Amino acid sequence: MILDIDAVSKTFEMHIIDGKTVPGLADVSFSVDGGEFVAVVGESGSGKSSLLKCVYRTYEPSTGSIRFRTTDGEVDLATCSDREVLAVRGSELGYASQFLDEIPRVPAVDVVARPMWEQGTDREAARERARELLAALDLPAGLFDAYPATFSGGERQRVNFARAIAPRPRLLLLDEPTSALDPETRASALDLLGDYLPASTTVLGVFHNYDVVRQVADRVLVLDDARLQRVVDVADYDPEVLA
Amino acid sequence: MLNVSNATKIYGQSCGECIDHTGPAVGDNQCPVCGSVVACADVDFGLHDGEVLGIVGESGSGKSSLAEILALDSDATAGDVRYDAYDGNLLETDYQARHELRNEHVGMVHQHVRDGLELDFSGGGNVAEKLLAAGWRHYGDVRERVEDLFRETEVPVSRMDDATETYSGGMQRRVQIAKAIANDPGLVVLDEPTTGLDVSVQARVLDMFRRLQREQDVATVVVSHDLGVVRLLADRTLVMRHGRVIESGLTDRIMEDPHHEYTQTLINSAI
Ligand SMILES: Nc1ncnc2c1ncn2[C@@H]1O[C@H](COP(=O)(O)OP(=O)(O)O)[C@@H](O)[C@H]1O
Ligand SMILES: [Mg+2]
Ligand SMILES: [Zn+2]
Repeated sequence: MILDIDAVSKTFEMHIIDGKTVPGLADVSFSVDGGEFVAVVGESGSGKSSLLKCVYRTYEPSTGSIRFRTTDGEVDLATCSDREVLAVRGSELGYASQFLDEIPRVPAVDVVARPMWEQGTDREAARERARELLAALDLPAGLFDAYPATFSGGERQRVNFARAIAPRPRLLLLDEPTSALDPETRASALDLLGDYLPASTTVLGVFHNYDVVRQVADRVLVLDDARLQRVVDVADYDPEVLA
Repeated sequence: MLNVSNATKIYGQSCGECIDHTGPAVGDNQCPVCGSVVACADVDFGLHDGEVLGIVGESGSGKSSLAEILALDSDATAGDVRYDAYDGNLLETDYQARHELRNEHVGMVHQHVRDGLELDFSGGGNVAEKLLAAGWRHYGDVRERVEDLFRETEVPVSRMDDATETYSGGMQRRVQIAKAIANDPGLVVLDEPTTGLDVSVQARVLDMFRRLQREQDVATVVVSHDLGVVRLLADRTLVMRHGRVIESGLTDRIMEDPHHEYTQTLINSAI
């Protein structure tokens, strides 16, 4: 087991709307084995992104524990220090958010290369790997040195995806990484997951497309209204079944 | 490498109870008893090599006062600051030690260019001055080092001997950064690093600084009222209001899951 999530809840207190509280996640527990690919599905607003953000600690869980077994021992991502979170992010935990968020005037290659050189890869070697990844995602070579701010949604998503997988994190969180891609590019992206990442990589990924889920996932985790509704093997997953 | 506890700066003759009479709970930083202004009080944080700490808050919240204390540009009223390069409380140094620390161990990029550069000197001269203050003597070495620093901060070396006032705002900011890092300090303090710059220039300066910061692994405090600046540079962030830290945490957590009412207002009004 690499990740053990126990009774995690996240409640947002909206002080500016009269202290209204909004549930993001309610009492979610499950665990993930090393090398597993778990797809997270559920309706819009069901808590999928909140779950990923709690694991990445962009959201601070209100209660519960998120135990991640790193190569240096176990950390509880729900409660460990900010510095420990930064250290884990810098070495073993990767995340592709739904939207690319970068310094405006950085060329696509450098956006992808940066996490690698920040983790110690030589600058040119990191750029070279970035180019290979972008090429594998069918991004036109003419765009490699252009600024992602000028890109289409699908092009930006490829940059974001390449950046997240580039350092080969042990645990990878993907939030709808292929939602803006056409079927062909989506197939390239999914192939790349298998070809580029070692089989030992653990992935927790939010997906909307049933075909994608069937192709990549070992298990499917269904969220409904902030709660974990069920976790099933992909073979037993029937999107029509709601309860 | 840097450990700050209880950093406090009060302007005016304090009645001794100013801190109890001010702050977010009271809603003001001016003491109703004696009229002193508590620019910042009770600020605690630690910083390791290579870390970037952001400080955000509205104008007047105390960010610059804190930055100036850290850069040894102004005296603190109280507090304890421990720094690797100095044995003792940084806030209680003698003139000599302070001089040395400012020249060699702490670099400051001021909000106002005029506070950081002699505008009628050449850009190269401004940077060279910092090297000379740290004991550099040989003309050729100084010139070579300044050229390297210009390259690193992406200022055209060909402009080195021109008066700084003829430089664009972006170039002036880069020269300030070149000067701040000239003696390889362990700590750099940036106060509002993008004020007065066009948006496109802001982005290039920030990106240049971020690259340098990571390459040199220098601990950095970046102060800005602009959440975007802090979001792009800082790993962790302190939110200040009425001279106090009201919330602190990972920068992305502060931006996406702000806990304090004031932070929520700040984030919402920025979107
Ligand atoms: N030299 C000074 N004399 C008196 N009050 C000052 C001085 N400098 C700053 N202040 C006051 O201290 C408070 C904090 O200011 P400052 O540190 O400049 O905030 P910020 O950088 O967040 O805008 C404000 O109320 C400001 O008016
Ligand atoms: Mg200021
Ligand atoms: Zn008083």
